[in-house]
Amino acid sequence: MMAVAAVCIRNLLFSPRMVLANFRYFLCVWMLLSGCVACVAQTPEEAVRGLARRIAEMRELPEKVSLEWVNISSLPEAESIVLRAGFVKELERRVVTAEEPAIAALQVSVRETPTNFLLVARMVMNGGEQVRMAELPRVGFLPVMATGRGLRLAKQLLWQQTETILDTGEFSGTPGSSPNIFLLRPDALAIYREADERFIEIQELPFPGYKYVSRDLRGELHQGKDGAIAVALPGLNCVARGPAEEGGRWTMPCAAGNGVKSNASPVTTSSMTGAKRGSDVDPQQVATLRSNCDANGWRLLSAGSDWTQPDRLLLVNTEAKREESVASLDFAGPLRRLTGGEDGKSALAVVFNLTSGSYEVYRITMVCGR
Amino acid sequence: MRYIALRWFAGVRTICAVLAVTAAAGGSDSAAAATQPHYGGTLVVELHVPTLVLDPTKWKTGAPESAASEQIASAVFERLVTLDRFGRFQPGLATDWSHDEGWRRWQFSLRAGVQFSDGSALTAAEVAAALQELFAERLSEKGVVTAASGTRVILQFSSPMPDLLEQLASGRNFIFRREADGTLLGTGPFFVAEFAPAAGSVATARYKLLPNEKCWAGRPFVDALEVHLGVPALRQLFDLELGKADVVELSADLVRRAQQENLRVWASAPVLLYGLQVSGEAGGAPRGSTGKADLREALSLALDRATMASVLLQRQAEPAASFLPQWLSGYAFVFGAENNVERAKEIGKKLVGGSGAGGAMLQPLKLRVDAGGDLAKLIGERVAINARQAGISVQLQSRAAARENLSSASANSPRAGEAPALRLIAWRYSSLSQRAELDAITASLQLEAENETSTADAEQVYARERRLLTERGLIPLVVMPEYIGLGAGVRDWMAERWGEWHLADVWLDGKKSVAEGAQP
Repeated sequence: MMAVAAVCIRNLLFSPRMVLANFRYFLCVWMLLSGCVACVAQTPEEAVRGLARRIAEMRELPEKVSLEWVNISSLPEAESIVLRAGFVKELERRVVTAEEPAIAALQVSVRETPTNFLLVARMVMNGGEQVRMAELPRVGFLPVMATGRGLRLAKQLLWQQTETILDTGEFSGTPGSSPNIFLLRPDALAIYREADERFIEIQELPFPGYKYVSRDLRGELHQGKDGAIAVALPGLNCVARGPAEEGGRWTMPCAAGNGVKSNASPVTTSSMTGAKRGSDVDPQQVATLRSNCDANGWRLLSAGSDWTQPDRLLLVNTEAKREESVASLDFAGPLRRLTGGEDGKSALAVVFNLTSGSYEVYRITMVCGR
Repeated sequence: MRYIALRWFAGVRTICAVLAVTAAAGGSDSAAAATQPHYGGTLVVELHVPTLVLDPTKWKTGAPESAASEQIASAVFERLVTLDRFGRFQPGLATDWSHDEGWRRWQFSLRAGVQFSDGSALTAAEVAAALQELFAERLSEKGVVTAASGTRVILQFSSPMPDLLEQLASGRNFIFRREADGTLLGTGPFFVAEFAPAAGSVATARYKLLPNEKCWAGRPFVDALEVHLGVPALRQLFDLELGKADVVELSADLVRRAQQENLRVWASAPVLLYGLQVSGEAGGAPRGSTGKADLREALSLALDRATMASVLLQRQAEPAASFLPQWLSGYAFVFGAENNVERAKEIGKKLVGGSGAGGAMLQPLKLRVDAGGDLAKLIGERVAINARQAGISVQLQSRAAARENLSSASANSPRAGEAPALRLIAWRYSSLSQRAELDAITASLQLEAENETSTADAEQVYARERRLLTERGLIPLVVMPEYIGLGAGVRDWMAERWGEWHLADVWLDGKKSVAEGAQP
């Protein structure tokens, strides 16, 4: 509200056109009078502080209140704690808060609607209940790009984004150079390089004039023997070639073509262009791995049923049956893509996180011992 | 000429390079995970309603019967925007949007290259025409949904519409083109190819929908969608068990049985509300607003909602104390539903004895059951029992009986035109906008319109709902989810928790078409 007021006053004072200024002035006054809090784009912190101020402005508010803050929503607890801290800080400018029962109890409950998190503050005073609310758009809490290197068992989160990822690969652009991470999106091929435990975007190669049309996720990356990266999309084939010199630009000519085909019938599980898949291949086998631990060959099998369920990767000896898996990894969503690494010692997995709604890329490796 | 030849050569070279690299690829193994969808098959859906109305402008807001029509219409029509379950508005037929400071003027840019199922292109004028019909009451007197520059649509409202995106992403707000004969065309993943009405030996009506190959979002996975109408609840369950149907509606009394038989059951958030409307001035009710408020309070205190939900509805429902459910408003828990029979008796005595401010209550109160089905009747009977425990006599009256009553009474009869004091209503939430739902119930129940509220601010919506409950005589009883039984081969049933299905994303896993192998 104050932010609106500030903007309004600034417009009034400095606008060279008085007519427009007057119009804006009246508009602002109307907005302030109508209490159109939802109309104002606020950060979560501002919204929480605003809620604390409105509680502090309640009539006959005692000087000491006990605060009970509960989060009954999908808001991550860490975010809830941050919001609570901001709320308490603002509230304590006017009243003393305490954990133990005080004269008045203030209950703040974090709830959610399809579009917002809702902070509902309730306070019983003089036999009646006062209720104040603040809305925080849920999109304000969506995950941002994560650069986490934290190794969790044998699953390393490399990348996280809300945009669709069709495929991923870890390839060296030119022989001898350090590998890059390639993310295939419906609109572009993005190339990243790991440096100081962070991923830096090297280049984004769009598909000019191309419109991705597919209900399932169809798009593949493969590296040829000359180091070029073949990109196959529905109706489009491209080849991305690395720069001749370090620091140069990638190029990617494209041509209309068959691209990648869909699963044509319920009988066949996949008919991927470029992938070596015979009809006798176990449809559950999605990648092979070699380890430093022994000379055995290993398979990674997906245990998921469809895209509504969290998935699990099973590690199975190439000679063994699925039921004889020796290790497993759980994911927070379905595994959408699995790609064997260049060295055969790791694989990259694209997972759609059902909790956060983001696409995540994991590097899967085998760890010796426990 | 030389230029053309060089360009041709360059193009061929590019294609060759692409093909060569593609052929050489395969050094690393790469594959779709086991969860990759498959195309093909016929998805058979069975519904209880005898007819579908695929014209969104003809749906009665809040009517449970319209919900089935909306589910199937969502396979034929599309929206300008959609809301995902993470709270993000996603582009639909519109790719971007903006609004003015006052939330009255909205501008949408349309997706390029969208086609109707007949192959004709979607134009801004057609979008404007559809929105004009859908928002006729909300638009300003000047008019206006306008198509600007062929790819943009501008909506000008007479009052602020901060929740327009919520409204566009839900309910009846589908984009369509009305043909000269009144039929509607959509841009969605399916189109209606065939309709066979129930006749003779065929007891159920049937729609057959085929994939819209021109759908901008891609072809749906199944080859056909068959919708069978008028299928009784128990028959739907049997058909699911026998593999004759892939998607069926499960009534509350059959959910447990389905679960015990290891059938897959999907439940939405609570989307169906049963409630009581207390009318003053009629059907034996005490006169005046105070009397109406007392009656409402007495009934509300007398009602044992917890028993209704747990026993009568076999734990497939939740007690409700507010009109808007918790998942939609976020604040429903603030409302309490106290069950205090003693207090209800005290208020009831006042009403019956005539010592209340509203004067004496005529006995018994008539309760009309507007909602259809046995379940509504059961709830109505339970309301009557609870009311009787508080000393308030309530007499159940079916809708048909009420009509008969009115028509048989002569014009001079004191009973002529007498409306019931109580109505049992069923309300199906269809909008993602709290304000729109409150507007709709106010209009639908012909409650006194309030001179407010143009904002979607949670506190104001809450205050409005509190008034609706305390001053306008609405008593929520229970809320229920929608239960869907799913066949073993149904994959990627990614329905929204507010109940909207996405039939285009469903695929069938390794099974033959149900329709091919069995007689429905």
